[in-house]
Amino acid sequence: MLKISNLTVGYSRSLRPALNGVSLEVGTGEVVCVVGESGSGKSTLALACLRLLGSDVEIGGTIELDGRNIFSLSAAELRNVRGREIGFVNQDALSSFSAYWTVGEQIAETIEAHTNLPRRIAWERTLDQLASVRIDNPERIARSYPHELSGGQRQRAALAMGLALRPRILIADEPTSALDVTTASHLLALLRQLQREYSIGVLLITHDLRVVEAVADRVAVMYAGILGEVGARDEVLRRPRFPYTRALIDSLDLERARGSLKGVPGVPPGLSETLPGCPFAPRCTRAEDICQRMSPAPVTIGETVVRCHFPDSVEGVEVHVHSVG
Amino acid sequence: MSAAAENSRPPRPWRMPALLDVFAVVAIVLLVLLAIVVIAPGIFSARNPLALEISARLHGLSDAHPLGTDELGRDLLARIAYGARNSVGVSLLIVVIAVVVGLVWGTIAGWFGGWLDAMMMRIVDMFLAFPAFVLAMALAAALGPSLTSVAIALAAVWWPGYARLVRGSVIALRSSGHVVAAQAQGLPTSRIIWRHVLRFIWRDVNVRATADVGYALMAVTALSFLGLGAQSPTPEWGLLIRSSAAYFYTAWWYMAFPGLAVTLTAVSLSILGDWIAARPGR
Repeated sequence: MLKISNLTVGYSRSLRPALNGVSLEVGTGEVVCVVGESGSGKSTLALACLRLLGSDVEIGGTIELDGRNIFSLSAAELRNVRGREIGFVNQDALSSFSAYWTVGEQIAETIEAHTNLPRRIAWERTLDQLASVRIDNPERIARSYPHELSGGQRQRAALAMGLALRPRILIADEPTSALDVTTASHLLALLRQLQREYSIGVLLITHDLRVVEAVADRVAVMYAGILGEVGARDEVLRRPRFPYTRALIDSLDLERARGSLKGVPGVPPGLSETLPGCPFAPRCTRAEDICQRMSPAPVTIGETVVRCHFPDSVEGVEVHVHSVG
Repeated sequence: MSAAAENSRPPRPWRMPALLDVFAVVAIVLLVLLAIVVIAPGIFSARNPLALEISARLHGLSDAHPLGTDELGRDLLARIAYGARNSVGVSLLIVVIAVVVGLVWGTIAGWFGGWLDAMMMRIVDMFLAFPAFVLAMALAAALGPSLTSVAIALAAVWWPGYARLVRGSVIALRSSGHVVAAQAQGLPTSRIIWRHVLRFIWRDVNVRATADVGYALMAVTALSFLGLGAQSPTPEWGLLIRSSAAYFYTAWWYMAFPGLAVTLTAVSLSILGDWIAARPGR
């Protein structure tokens, strides 16, 4: 349904593209998680799907929604895709609602922008919508300003807005990062439930493997603008083939670490560093000469696509990841 | 759950009102009075501002002429009251034109960016590079001295400031979370600009415009004082001060009251602007 093919995004004034040859598909009724650390390009990917990257970027490749390339839509078509066909939930709901208008006004505004419903009907749909994300007393929440709500309520309201027009795809950029663990797990459970109910595809951006464990059907591991590994959640988490995935899992595995948290040594490359080889090579424990010199081509193993010169080297290790809920 | 929605704020203890609040109250009272004068000057003076009374030349304060008369025996209170409409009215008009033009110009430049922005802002720079008063004088001189040419000249030097202010804010807001979110929801651009961008800028523009009416008033009266604006016998504050200059030593009221009108209005507007800027919230 949503098909990203060989997407390359370069910001002007940076030497290295923020996204480099990213290919990923989100099908009907599946949750695809893109996981990576800050600066890996995952938010760029989310914004690219809605063509929200601004004018000073160079874009290569395509993003297709049912065969229509997002980048060749007219302004009017694009406006129809945004909100109606692809919903969006931002990381920080406080900044994704305008402070001057109530939450309800803004959800109703989205409904009105895409339908010709009179204000009163749009308002009633807004209340229904808030009720559908399990907000009790939707009337009061709808009449509240964003800053008057708790983080959890705000994020639910943002989810309600993203789903207001029953889009077939929802893009959620770190929807739980601003929430505490309990609220986050409730929101993820709700997201999963609504996703099944409406049978929509979800592209969920996160830095947290526990979120992946909780909701993903498939997972894509992003590092410095490339997708190192794309595959079914259990396959990737149990048998990681991209060394960075392995390192991420290790850094989370409290039980194995026994009190001493193990980070991934080194720092990810900035946008001003050029990388002739695999971008993870400088931090990779099993990097060899070729990794520094040549960018690895995608290799398909079973249902997993890996970009590594030695994709078998981390096979067969049983990994346990803690679940949040 | 969300306690803020309930009204559970503790009562605030009484404290001395800030000095600015006190001044603001005085300023607002004066400005309301001024507004009434502008709308209906007849309430304050039953006399005709143009009626000559040769027998009462340069009379001091009396029951018949509460603020005295000028060199042709015209009632000064009537001339100041009817002059308010010219002086303050033109100042308001100048600021309204400047705000509208600056808002449209700055929004287009800031929102669309790129070469359009570069070109539009170079034009703004061109206007800003001129010393404002000199440009206004040159324009007023070229168009012939009248209140209209003063209004055109001052509006021409005033709008670039608003264009700058608005453009900067639009650029900052364009990439802010709620604007990106509004775009992601597929709202029409016009609606995003109106409700999610300009709504946030309006307060800054308002503060500046309030004070600017006062500055525009001083500029209008100054240009009239120099003989570039209103022409006799139009009642206008700057022109009143100009014609009073010859009688400065003999008729103090002639210069004092028009001068007081200009000063009080300008200071009141300036205080009001500060007060709006200092108020918390929306």
